[in-house]
Amino acid sequence: MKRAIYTLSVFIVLLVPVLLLSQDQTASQIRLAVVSFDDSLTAASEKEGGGDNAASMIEALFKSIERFYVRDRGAVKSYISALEKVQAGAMNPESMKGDPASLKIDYLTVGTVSKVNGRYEIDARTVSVDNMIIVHSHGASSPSLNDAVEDISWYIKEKFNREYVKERQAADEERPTVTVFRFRDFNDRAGKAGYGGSFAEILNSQMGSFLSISTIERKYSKALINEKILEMAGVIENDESGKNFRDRGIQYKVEGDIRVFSDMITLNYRVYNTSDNSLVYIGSRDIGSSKGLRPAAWSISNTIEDVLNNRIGVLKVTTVPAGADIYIDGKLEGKGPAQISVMSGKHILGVKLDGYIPYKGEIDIQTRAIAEKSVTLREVPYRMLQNAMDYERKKDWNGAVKAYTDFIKEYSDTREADSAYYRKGHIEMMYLKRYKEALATFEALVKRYPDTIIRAEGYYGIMRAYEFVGNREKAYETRNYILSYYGETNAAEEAKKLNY
Amino acid sequence: MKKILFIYLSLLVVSVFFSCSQKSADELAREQFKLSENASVNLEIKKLRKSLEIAKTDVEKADIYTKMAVINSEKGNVKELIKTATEAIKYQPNQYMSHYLLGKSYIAAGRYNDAVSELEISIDLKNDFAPAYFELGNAQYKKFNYSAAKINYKKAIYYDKDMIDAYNNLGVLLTLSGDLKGAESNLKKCVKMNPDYAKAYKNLGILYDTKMKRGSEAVQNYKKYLSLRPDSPERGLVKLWIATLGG
Repeated sequence: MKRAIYTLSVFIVLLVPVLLLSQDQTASQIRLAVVSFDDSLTAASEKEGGGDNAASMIEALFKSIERFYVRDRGAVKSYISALEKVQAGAMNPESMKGDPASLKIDYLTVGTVSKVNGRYEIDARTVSVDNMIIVHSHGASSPSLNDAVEDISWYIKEKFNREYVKERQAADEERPTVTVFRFRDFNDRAGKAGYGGSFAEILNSQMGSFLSISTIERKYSKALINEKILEMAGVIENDESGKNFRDRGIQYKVEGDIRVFSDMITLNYRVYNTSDNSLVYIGSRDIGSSKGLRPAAWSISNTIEDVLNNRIGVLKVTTVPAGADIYIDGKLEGKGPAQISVMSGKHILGVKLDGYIPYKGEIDIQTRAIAEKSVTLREVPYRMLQNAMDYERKKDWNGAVKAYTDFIKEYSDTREADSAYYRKGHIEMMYLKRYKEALATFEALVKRYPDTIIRAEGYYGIMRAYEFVGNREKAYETRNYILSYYGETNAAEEAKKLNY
Repeated sequence: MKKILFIYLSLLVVSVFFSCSQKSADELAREQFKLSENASVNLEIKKLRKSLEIAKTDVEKADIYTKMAVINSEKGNVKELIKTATEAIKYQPNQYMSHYLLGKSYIAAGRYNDAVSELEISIDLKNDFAPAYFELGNAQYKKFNYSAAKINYKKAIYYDKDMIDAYNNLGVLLTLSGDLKGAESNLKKCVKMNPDYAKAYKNLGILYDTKMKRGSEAVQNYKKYLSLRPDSPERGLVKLWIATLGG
């Protein structure tokens, strides 16, 4: 008996530290399970059935690294089955939230295997069981499945550790949350090529690699809008998915379309704010072949990261009257009212409309805010031009020139200034006989190109001014220029009359 | 007999004269510029940019910007589409094609009221332009104005009996508004017109599956869709629907 008690005591003394040690080790480990990778994205990958193979290789790798505690796929089978039902829309998404205590895992590694033009596109993402935020992701393209998995394995070995996960999960609530919703194959060629499914997965992985945004695993998020009626194709979607996303704390969704042409593939993408379904950003990227899908996803994900961190902000411009041209830093961006994506920082906003005095002002695009600007344009004071014309009627030519000069000084940016230039030059030339001044005025008018709409008339004035000062060579040269470039105008008809 | 032949020939000459005087073939080709299925998009854009540098008249510039807008529309590059269509309108305000393209771009940019007004201008300029009615239908749909959308899809079909996308969209709209027979007939018309028009099979499948409860026909259409689009992004989903229906 004594011997038995002694043996038991020794056993307990030895076992307790072992148990404590093993518990301590588990606590410091990253606890996860690997789910079979989805290979049904393309018919070719489904036929080969590489999903299980890729998942097994990744699982074996995790098991070989001490910092991971890996539960066998069989042990979390019921949870995974629930996950799949939710994805199919057959079960409430809430039921997908795991109980880490019973599951004994904190993370799931999910992934996809697709085959595009003979090349494997493999993506592996590890997501938090609690909120389905991607904490680690990597994807690879290769003609060989093993090579692609090898590439992903290197990243897991080198980059996926406790510190990295801690950093990813720190202050999650401050980061914008986003999900990649869908990419449609838009035109016929795209439908036949079928890149949409693979590209959404690639972009999902790339987005999941950023520290500054929280990307919700799309397998989870897509389940939220799994309504067949919304899958009807044709009419541009009118879906109510924004509400579903918003209710689950997903602030932004990314969707897009792919169009395939004989010499390029165009990837169009849009970022929506789920709170009001408003379009936050719209972008487009061209690639030469399907090999460019992954690099393009990298570039697009960087732009989206910029957008979500408001390095690119949104400017809402309302113009009164509506329909005025809006310029940002001199570049035409659309007609008011408009919502324009602009890099954060200071810019020059310009608003122009015929008959109105153009507006120019500085705008400051702030981070994490939508800048709103309402511009009310003032009508061009035609009274000033009327005064100038009154002087002309009274044959007070100096008074008229002064009135036109004042108008030009004050309202140089308006279309009406073109007319003021022309009338001023005409009076200087025909009535005041100040040919050099007239020449300077007409030259100033044509230099307003391309804004001036009466450039042919400006050149006609130059031709006549040269004629008056006796520079026949220059007059003839200008005449020929008018005939060559403005042959269909009245100015050309008049210029033809000049014949030396 | 000679007299009849003379009258016939005279009528032929008159009809040819009238058709020529209405619009030259060149003019029509310019207005109806369409990117061909096998066009090299890069090459086309480069060519147009080059020709823009040497374009002399406003008409030429408007023409080039319109062609650029057509390509941007095909590509779905909304930002560039808005810019090029706006430029085209600046140089030639009365061109129906540019207003149509600008309207189309506004739909993609979520500016539905602007889209409606641009498309209406396009229709005012050319009131038998089916694509403008089609896009106007889309804009109204996005504004949840289903009755106006329906009217415009029907007008698009009236002016272009072969506009398969209009039949398809009308089919979807009728499904949503409960006219199931109308929906079925329009979607069936699509597959009759083009047996490879994949999305109509998917739409028919959803119609039979969710609304008409005709499971076997739904499965048949889902399967046809998958056979035409074996790598579609939603293939997993469609396969699940088939499995749920026991197919």
